[in-house]
Amino acid sequence: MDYAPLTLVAVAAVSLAAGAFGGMLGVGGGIVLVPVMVGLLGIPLEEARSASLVSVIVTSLGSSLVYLKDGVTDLERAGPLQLPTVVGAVVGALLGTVLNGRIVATLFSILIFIVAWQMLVQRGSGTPSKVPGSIWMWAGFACVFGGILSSLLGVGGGLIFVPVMTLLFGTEQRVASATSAFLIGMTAATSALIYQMSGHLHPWLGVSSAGGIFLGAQVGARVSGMLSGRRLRVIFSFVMIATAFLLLNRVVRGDV
Amino acid sequence: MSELRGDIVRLPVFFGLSGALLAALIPGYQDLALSILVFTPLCVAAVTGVTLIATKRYGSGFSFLLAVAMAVAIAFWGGLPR
Repeated sequence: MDYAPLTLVAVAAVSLAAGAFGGMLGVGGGIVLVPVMVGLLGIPLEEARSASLVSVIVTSLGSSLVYLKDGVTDLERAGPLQLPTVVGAVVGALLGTVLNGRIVATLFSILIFIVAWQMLVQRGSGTPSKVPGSIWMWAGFACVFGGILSSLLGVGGGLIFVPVMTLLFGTEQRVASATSAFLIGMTAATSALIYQMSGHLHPWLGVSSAGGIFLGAQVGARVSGMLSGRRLRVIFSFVMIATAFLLLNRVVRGDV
Repeated sequence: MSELRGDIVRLPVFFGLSGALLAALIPGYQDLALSILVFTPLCVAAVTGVTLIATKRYGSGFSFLLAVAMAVAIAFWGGLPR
């Protein structure tokens, strides 16, 4: 499918806003991009999802440049979480061919409401020096699930990874956001690679969204340091609730 | 995570983004730009894995390398059966 230059400019503009938002909160920005591209710009879900995954990669790389420089990213803890996210991404691509997207999106919306509520009521957090093995197991399962959702819906998976680190490990919000921003890059790359092989990745659509989101990610990562952990968590919770409504709207309209 | 290790991991990020930007600006090379972008996180994860192993964080390091191996294997297969 060929796109009018105006459509590509609109995609770049939306990506710019989504990039700022994603870099600030450690999510990929795909949660904004996919609904807008499909719902407002009339782009097919398969191509919107693939372009969104490319912009998730750019958000991740752009944010990681800043976070790694500041030494905020917890690479040691990211390692054991990265493998299950990639496994999830591969499983998600397989499931995408057989599972009804409306069912997945509905379940996803419900999950977002629960996690957003938990983050809103959570008070204070400290980083435990030793994490019990059972928590690592649950974190692994959650990350596989995050990878599946990333691949199926074209989102980064930060919606799952950030709460996993803050709620299960007690990681500080900014460290969790930075580590999540790092994790989503590899997860989205695995999914994007699969979709690129399947011919669903439109070059100009991908470049437009990637260009816009890179600039936005730089802004978002810098602004994140100016906000307190509590405030960031509240913003994140409300963004998640808004995303859940957007997703449900897509389900009702039959866009998923 | 020391500053040195963070700097090493930032190198492939910087080169990947620069390479993709350069390719995106040349007409007809947008596909190459996307390919560079898609493979950059794999390089970043590989460098991170090796760096962690070099500093005796074997669990985290091998986890990163295994994730990269899985993605590379998919690339060699040419995607998943559909």
